[in-house]
Amino acid sequence: MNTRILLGVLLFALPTMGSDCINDGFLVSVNIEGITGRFDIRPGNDPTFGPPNDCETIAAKTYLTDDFGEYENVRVYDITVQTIGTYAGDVNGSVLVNGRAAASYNGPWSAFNKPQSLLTSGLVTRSGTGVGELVLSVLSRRDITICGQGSVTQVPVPSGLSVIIEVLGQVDANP
Amino acid sequence: MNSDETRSRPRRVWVLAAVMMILSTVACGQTTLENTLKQFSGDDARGYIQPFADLFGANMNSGFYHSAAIPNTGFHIAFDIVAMGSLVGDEQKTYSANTPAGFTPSTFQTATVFGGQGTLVKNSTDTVFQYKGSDGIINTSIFPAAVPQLSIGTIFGTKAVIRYIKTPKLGSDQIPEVTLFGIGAQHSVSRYIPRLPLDLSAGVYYSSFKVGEIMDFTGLSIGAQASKSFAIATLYGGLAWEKTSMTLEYRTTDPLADPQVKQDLDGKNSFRFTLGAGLKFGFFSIFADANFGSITIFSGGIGFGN
Repeated sequence: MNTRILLGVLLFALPTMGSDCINDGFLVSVNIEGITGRFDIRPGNDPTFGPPNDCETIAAKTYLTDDFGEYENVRVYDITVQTIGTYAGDVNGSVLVNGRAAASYNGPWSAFNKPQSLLTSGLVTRSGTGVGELVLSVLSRRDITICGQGSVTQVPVPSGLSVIIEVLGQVDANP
Repeated sequence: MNSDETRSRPRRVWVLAAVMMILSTVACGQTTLENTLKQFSGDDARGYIQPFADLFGANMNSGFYHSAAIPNTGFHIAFDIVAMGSLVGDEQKTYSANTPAGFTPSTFQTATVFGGQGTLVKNSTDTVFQYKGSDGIINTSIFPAAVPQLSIGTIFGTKAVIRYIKTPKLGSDQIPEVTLFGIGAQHSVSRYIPRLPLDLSAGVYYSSFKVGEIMDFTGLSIGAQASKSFAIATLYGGLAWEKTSMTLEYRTTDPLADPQVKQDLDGKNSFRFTLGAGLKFGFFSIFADANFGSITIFSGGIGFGN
């Protein structure tokens, strides 16, 4: 028997034994890292904070690194708010994404020392059209500006207070 | 054409064949698999990749023997190309994945590496928030593998089996470095029991298979074999206990997870019953068998030797 014919049969058979090998156009759900803003609250007698000072612009290339390649579909699955520093009063305000409200928060400052999830905490609620704005921004690879806007309840405001806002999302990447 | 070229061609053909057959498995997305796995935190990677460990591990322990007849002494050598394939069942195509903390529902059924599209799940208390599992990568009803195998012996009714191949990283991350190593011994039991109507043997086999930087398989199989020859035909079978494990080690890109992930996965198959048949025409042989256990595997191949 001709061994080359047998070899050919085997090599042909392997990829055809019910196998299409790779799924066409399969997508990997990739978590987006780094859509985070940290805002220092100025000490003194002004209890408010907000734009234009308390904003952070995240360049598209920092939250969508070269590893992402081509992608489609964007989803947001949580927004968290955390406070840094010791303060006896309350904090309330909004998370703004490119100027549009995405979430609001209201509660004791100390409760936010542990990150509060919009999914699980009664202290954070979704509001406005900011989530949709964020999805559109990621889809079009635009820079994202996150602002913290709000106030604290007791003055004078001590030094060393900050608010951290993090948006957690996914894209469908084509590896 | 000079005589040196004529002599070297068959050797080149078989080396090429072995490499191509190994790579045909590797090319089924293993570098893609590596890149995909890096998106998973530990627990989700376990569910997504477990069927791969089950089926690949079952393949690795296949095709080591196709006869239990082992002479007491004499020089015997055979080179085989063994192909094997595990059946991919529906239970290997989905798994229960975790959603992020606080999400409702907390788990959802989605595609494994052998599945179709990943499932999109909406948070029930606010459907704006959504989460999705990754799509499956490998679309197949039989998960194939192939190995070159050398059998050599015999001393005191024992022959050794060796599998080895190493391929360098090829292309721009398309095919990672692959190292396959297997070693085993099969010992004749019939030599202690004269006038048996069939041949009996016992064997132990160890395999390792390392692909790229993040996956490392090992397998161990211990079993008993029986065979009966009729002219050019041989019927054979066996029972075996086996254990396979796969270690995954990588840095996840999931910002919410511990970045360093190390997972040890055990293959599902722990016992198998083998039935097979072979034909031998002088130095050439052909064989095929079916293996039944938690995973069903078919293997077969061709061999040259005495």
